[in-house]
Amino acid sequence: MKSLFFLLAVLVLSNCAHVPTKESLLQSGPTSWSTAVRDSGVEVGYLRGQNVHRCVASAQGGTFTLQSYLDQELLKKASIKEQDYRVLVGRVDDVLSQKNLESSMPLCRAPFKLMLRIGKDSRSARGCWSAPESRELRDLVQDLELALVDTEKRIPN
Amino acid sequence: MKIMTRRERWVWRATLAGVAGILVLLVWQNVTTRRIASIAQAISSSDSIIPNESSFCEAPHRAICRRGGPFTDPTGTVRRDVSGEVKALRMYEEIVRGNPDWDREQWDEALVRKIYTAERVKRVRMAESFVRKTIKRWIQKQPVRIFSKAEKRLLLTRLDTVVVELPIPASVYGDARELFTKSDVFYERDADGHLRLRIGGAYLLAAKSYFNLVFTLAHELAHSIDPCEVLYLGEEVRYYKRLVACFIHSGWVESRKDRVECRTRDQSAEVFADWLAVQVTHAVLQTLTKNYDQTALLGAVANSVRDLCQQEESWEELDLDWHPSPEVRIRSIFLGHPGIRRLIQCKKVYPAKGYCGMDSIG
Repeated sequence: MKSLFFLLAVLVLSNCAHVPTKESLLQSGPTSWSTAVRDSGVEVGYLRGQNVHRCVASAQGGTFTLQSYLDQELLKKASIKEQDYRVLVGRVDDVLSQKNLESSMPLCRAPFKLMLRIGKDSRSARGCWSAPESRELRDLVQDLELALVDTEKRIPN
Repeated sequence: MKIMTRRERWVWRATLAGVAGILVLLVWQNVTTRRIASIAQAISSSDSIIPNESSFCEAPHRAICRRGGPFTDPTGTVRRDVSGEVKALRMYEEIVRGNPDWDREQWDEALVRKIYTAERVKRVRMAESFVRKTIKRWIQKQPVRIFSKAEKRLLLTRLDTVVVELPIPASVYGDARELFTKSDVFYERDADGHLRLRIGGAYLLAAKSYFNLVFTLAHELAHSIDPCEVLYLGEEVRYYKRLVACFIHSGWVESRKDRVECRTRDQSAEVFADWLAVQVTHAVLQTLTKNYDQTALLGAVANSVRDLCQQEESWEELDLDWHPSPEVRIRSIFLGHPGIRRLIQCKKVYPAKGYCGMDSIG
């Protein structure tokens, strides 16, 4: 029994050790979060019907880009403003902090995976695209799709 | 009667030989010119070469999927690439740029009116009606040894509950506005348990063949009564066990060690949806292709499943392998169907292992 608890503790700790959340970074000073976001990336992929969709956002060398893929093919790429990118990373951080993101749906026909990389560390979550728990993520992807078309429009907070 | 001299006979024979030679030369030149022209045409547009029924019967996946350009049938074509989504995105961009003072709802409404035209919606509704009727007829005609009365009631009610949702207005897809520019067609249960089938705008721009529309709608509607959906409801349809066992035995469903029925790495729901869609597609092919020539018939057959050629690729360990491979879907499930093989006059009708569910197909 003790070994089981030990194993569980190790699993929980190992899972949390490399997870720089927005909250934890903000606690180490306001510049920590700001600096960290400049080397980060977001990727969300989901299957719906026969298609795999992927939305990728990344920050590198002061450039912030957004890309949309169908299966492995690039559909659209656009530059976004740093402020919009920060909003996006903040929203992804919020989604990943949701406790019940892993779907309650017993039969999932549209799985998704969400990934946030900050520096060398990354966090990810899986769930079901059509589940009520994924509402925030679906809203976020809708906003990203619009940002790809209308680059003047701000990504809402 | 004048008797020809030796010299005259020689002249006469030489003349005849000369005329025959000229005739042979002319025929040969004509044939060669035509052959060269046809080869040149074939080289210049290799996409237009229609494979014959023999290639469809012997190597259907190759015949349907390895072709560069689209197949054409009298109802249209199917493009299985990003062209539909790119086209939809461009339409959206035009609307956004042309009307910068509008809000998102207005842009979406304008896009929806451009894509979901009355003509396209009418085609979808026609296909939907055909698919529903054909599946219902299939359920109703089954003898008790296949479906009991209660099972029939369950399946028919379930089928009736699914709503094929189509915008206009755009707010119909209010919770999935990105769908207007996507080529997804899918069945889902929403948060409140409502069953619906939705059709992305880009699909309507890319898939114009009626045969593809029928196969696609039939596949998605079949999900509402597939073995996993029934299991999810806590119900049982006895015949499904036999059917799924056959799917596994035939290699249509991969028998993986870590396969957990309807949960992990299980393809039975997808194979069932394909299997039922094939029967519906066979019915539409039988009905509509009666007056088609062989080229049009093969085009219709190919277009029915043309968009199955490309398989979604796994992304970062996301378990996406619940669809069987395109080869299994096209070669075994679709062109293994005895009725479709008969329709395109394949010499060998029954595949080596037999075709699953023959007792219910009749």
